[in-house]
Amino acid sequence: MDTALLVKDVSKKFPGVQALNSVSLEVLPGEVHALVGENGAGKSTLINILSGVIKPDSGEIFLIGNKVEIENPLQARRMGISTVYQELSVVPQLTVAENIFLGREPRGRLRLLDKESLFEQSSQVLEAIGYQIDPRRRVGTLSIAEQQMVEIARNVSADSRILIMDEPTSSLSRAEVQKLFGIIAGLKEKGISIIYVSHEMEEIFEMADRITVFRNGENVATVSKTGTTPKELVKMMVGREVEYMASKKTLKEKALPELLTAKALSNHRLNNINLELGKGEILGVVGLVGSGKTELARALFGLDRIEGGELFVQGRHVKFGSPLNAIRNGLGYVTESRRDDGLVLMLGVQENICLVIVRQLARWLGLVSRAPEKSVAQKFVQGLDIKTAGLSQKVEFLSGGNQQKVVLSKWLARRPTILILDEPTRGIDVGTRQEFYTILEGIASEGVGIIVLTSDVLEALRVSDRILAMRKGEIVAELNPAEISYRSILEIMTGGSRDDK
Amino acid sequence: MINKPETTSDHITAEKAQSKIDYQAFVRSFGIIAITLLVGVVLSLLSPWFLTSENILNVIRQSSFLLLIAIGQTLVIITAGIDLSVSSVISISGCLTTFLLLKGIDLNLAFLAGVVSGGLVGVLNAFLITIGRMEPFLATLSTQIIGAGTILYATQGVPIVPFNNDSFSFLGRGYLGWLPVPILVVAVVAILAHFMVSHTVFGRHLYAVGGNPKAAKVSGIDVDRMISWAYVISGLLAGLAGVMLASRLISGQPSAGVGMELNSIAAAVVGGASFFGGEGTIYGTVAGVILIGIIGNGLNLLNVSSFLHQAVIGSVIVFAVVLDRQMKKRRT
Repeated sequence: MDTALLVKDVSKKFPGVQALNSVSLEVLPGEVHALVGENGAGKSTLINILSGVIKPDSGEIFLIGNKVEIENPLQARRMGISTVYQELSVVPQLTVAENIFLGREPRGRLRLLDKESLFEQSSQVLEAIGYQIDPRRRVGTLSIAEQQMVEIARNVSADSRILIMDEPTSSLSRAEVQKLFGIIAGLKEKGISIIYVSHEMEEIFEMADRITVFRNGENVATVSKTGTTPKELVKMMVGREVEYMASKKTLKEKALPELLTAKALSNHRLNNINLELGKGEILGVVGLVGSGKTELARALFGLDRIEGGELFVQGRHVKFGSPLNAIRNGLGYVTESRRDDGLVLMLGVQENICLVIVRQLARWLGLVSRAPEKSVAQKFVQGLDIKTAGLSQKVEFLSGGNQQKVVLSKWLARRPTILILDEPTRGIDVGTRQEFYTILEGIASEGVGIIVLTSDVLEALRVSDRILAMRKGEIVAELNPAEISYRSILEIMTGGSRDDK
Repeated sequence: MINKPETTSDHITAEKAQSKIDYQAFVRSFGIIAITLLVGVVLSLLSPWFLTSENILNVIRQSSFLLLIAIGQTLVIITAGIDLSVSSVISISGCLTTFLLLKGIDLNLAFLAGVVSGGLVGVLNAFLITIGRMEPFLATLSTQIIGAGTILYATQGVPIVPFNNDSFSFLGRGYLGWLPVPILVVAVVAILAHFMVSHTVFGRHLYAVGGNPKAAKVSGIDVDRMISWAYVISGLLAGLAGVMLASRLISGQPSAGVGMELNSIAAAVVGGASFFGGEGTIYGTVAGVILIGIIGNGLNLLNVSSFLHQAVIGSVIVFAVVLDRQMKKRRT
């Protein structure tokens, strides 16, 4: 059988990192080919090359035996390579049909939109991928999963040969995943090859025919599903057992006074969450994107509704309902995205650091007292070594690491007893990262209970006294960082801990 | 010691950024004041009448009604909102006050009722925006239209003229020594408002809510409450402006405020407020109002057709907003 796609010795170098190192890959017609590997292993780079977003430094690409140069995304599509990204790009205000034919609408007389044929052709496309939905429905009224189907319908045309899907299931429920798999099976029957990037072992073993493992920019192995197990795959992803130095302080005594206890917390994204956080403890919560980490943080902090279960702070039963209540009960929350909901970019360093405590510092009639405010800001700028030209510098102009320190200072200024940090070192350089961990350990040693939510296993191992693993809105395991290996955690996070299939 | 050079380079880039911001902050906040002064100088060269204390006081007094509204408008724009209802509030409060006077109600009570009526419209706006989740533009456009229709129906389009009453006209026409009363009132309001936005927790929260509502919420700020207060204050100030204008005109005019909502928005934006929220100052708005005022006055003194005034003022707005966008672009 001819190969649908052949990638030969493709390399790509980014400043300071060899993203792909002479990678070869063969995809057969009508095959579901899964790409697995850790973050930074090279999967995304390869996808971006195949979809024309970036160009390789060297190497060749063949489509059904013909050598091709993929110059840009449009050309990639014309060649029959379509890509469905994690971030959907549908227009919610338009109908399903209008979305499918966006930019290539059928025209009738006078170059006017031919609605008749628009809906007719859309029905054909939808039928072809085996998805039943009224093409006249507005996309905004559809669920995320349905919108994804529309996105697929839009990308799959009669001459599609390769469909690339980048973590398509990360925001889908179980039932929706099954529906998606139905569509994929249908496409496969038509001879379309699917390149499927995922972390979820369960799904990979359900759907994929062959699996290629990436590590450090190289193709480690391409294996048939029937010839491997989830456990073996994770082992290949990680490579040699990562020697994790248990440089951590000896584990704390278990009899810590409890700061925070969650009992059977549930809401639309969380299911039966139980956790305990002790005084001075750093609790790591690991999970992939979409595992419910951020939702857990938001629920604990009173930003999202809690529908079931109970929350206790220092033994007191609490119901927050608003972040202000959470703050008053001693919580602080460093959010996942500092630009999105951490900082007010056009305000200065001082104003951002004092955003939470400005109330406490205020005098009669709510007058802001500049002097104490300034000394608080000064203390943190010096204490955490925040590199800024001055206290009135707009935080917009600080580097990522320094911005993150400002967000952290904002909460430390309030002297929290419980501090929640969501992906605290994302987008921060390695040096600053270590500095950050030291700061967190310092805070914990003063008795603050810290929850670090992260998708970075090494980070969890580095800072945590105890680790909880989350998957699909549930806590699936409690782990001891001194005893568990990097690989075992990855197995648990991806659902790849089974030896069988 | 190894990372020493890195640290210094960090500081240098930061310093560069700082000087860049200083320049921009200067242009943003003081550029408008500089332009206003420049226009003033040009006008005083062109017309000998312009720079007389009589004329200047006259311009400021004429501008004081607009300034009251523009201050409220600035607070709303800082929250990334807009208040189109102020024009109707002016008509409502002026007519209500004069109507009550006509009915023999106590003067102070009638004044208070006028101001409070504006506050109630603000409450309605706040309700529609925070609980009804309406776009500020649509919510306040609706209340503007409803208000305008209601007051026209209630008055049948006829001005309400209360019995001539010196104490009534004092607020709009009176003097304290050489100082016109409206100027005194608006000066007090402007100073209080400036103090509020720049020196109180309320002000800090207002900028935070406008600059990044999500971050404000996570930081424990009640975003909806802050937004509500901005509209209520805007309504109260428009109510005060309506009462003062009625006093000046010694009558309640059902269309007294028409067009003032747009002028107040123009003044705030010319003064540095941004529709994206989180930016804007009271002194910038004061300069914006005065700039619009002296351009109108100057054109009058130079015998330029009043039909052309709007075109000139419109051009000033275009200039200011384009400048604002260019600044933003250069920053990113």
